[in-house]
Amino acid sequence: MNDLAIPDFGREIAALLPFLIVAGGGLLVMVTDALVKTLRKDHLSYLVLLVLLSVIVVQTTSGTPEGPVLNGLLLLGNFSRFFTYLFVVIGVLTTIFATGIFDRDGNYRPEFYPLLLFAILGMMVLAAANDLLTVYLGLETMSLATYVLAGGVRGNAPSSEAGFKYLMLGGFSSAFFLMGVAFVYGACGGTGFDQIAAALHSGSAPMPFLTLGTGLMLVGFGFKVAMVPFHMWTPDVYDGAPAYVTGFMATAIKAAGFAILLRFVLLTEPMLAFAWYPVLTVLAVLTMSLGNIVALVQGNIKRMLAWSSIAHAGYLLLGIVAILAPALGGPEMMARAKGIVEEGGAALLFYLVGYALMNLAAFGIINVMGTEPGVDGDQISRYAGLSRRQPVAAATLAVAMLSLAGIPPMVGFMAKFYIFSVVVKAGLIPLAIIGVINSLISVYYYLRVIVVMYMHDTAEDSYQGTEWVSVAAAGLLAFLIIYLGVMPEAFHRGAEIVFRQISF
Amino acid sequence: MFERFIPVLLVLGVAGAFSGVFLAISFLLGPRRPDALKDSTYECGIPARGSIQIRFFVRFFLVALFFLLFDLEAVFLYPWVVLYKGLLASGAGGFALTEMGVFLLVLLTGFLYVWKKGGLEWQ
Repeated sequence: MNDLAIPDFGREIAALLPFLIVAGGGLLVMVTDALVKTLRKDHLSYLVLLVLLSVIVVQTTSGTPEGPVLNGLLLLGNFSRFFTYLFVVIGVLTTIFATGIFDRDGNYRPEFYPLLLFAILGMMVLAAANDLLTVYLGLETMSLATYVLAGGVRGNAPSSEAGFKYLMLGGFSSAFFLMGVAFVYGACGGTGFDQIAAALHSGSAPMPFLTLGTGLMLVGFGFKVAMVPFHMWTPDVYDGAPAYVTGFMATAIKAAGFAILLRFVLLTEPMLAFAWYPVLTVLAVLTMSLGNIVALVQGNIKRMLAWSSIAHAGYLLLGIVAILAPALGGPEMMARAKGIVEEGGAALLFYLVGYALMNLAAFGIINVMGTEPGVDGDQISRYAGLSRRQPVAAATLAVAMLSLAGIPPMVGFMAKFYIFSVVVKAGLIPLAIIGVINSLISVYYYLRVIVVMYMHDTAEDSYQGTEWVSVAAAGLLAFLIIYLGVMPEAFHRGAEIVFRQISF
Repeated sequence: MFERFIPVLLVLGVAGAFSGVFLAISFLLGPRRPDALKDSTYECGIPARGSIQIRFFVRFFLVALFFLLFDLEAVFLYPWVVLYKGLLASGAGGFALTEMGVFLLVLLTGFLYVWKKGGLEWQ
């Protein structure tokens, strides 16, 4: 009974240092907020930035040990490190955006900072998870913090609605996920990814339980990444939550969801590809098409970006479908399988980064456009003439929109190019065509924002708000969007190296 | 593998049958002579007054939640205490003690936050 292996302390702590810094930093920020009475508004944000930057420094400088830690509950390596960088950078930008808003509208909410750190901790655990229980732990740490972040603006009805909706539906999806974990545990006799892989390869696991269990888990993941038909919360929550939180949710949570979905798909691929390939194909097409078509008629830019984020989840699912496809093909396909899986994974990672850049740039601008406290700049019509009043903000938003539409030379184009080329290589040409058609539809609603900003005249109710730190941060992102769009090669190769380590 | 659960099902069935039978007997055989007093709400023998649809002070929920939270977390100490002797014997005493220390530290931080933020004040 008492066979708990006593771990090698030094190695474990060194390996877990980034996690410990974020967790300890969250507690520190919490206590500082409670105990120090003389805090200025922006002090906590400096502390959070310090914590996040020290994570980057520690992870870059120390050769953190790789491989399983904590008795195999976490698997550290390039994959988890890649996502830690992504989450931390998103966290830094979210902190900058939020602090600008706190400065402006007097609606200061110090609990935002520790919650942000805890959400990032959950995401890091999720990306490093090597056991279904760790997945659940990470999922809940991330979700519980984001429920509060979404509903964090006290006395603001849309925000409270967003938080409550997200909490209720998120609770349901967690229940589905846990039920799935129970079935998979019953079928495989373990919750560790290694145990599941072993059970799958030996063929000892009963298929009905396994299909049911993974199906239920897919519901849980689908909810987090806003996949049709589990997308209904997305527009309301994205619209109700303050823009800096929406930017965080749309980028970091989607990345975390796809990180674990990717690992899970690779884990179960050899046995379950035939069951999930048709389902995911249909869902990917539905997700893309519904997201793009409904986005066409939105007059509220946050709702439009919510539907667009559903559409982008569809493009990302195409990459997953392409990864699954070789496992079904004949011997000729199997020979190319490894290459397709690797390219598909790299395309997904590249897409997640590109998507994070362009979405954060867009939300960074939306965040500061609101004219009254506590209200974001969400009406597209009120962006009229922005290019004359605030050329930098307008140009940044324009770059973000062009990139989301997938127009070269932005990163969004390269991201879509990599995904679609893998889909074609996997022999799924109809799917690639549907993807390209969808991408064309989306150009309409993204360009409309640019038309309003550049070609309409300023009206009485046009947005005036500005806040230079956020605009500068978003402008930097716009620069990165173009840079990665022009020179994606090095980064894409890096993503391939990152991915190679986790393909089983 | 389901055979092992048959005794549980049996107990469940017998318990259900017993309660059903007794309820049915008292329903069928018992005399029924209702009056106003008998029909009124039974409140431990104290005369009922007012509605139960009253508003609770919101602090009540907060304190109840805090209690639940800290109480449950304190319960984690029990299995640790039970296992501690065995862990000491196997040379993992220091490890177990540090683990619990970290756990309590996190708990304490939460408590400090609640306290300093005025979560425990009844106003």
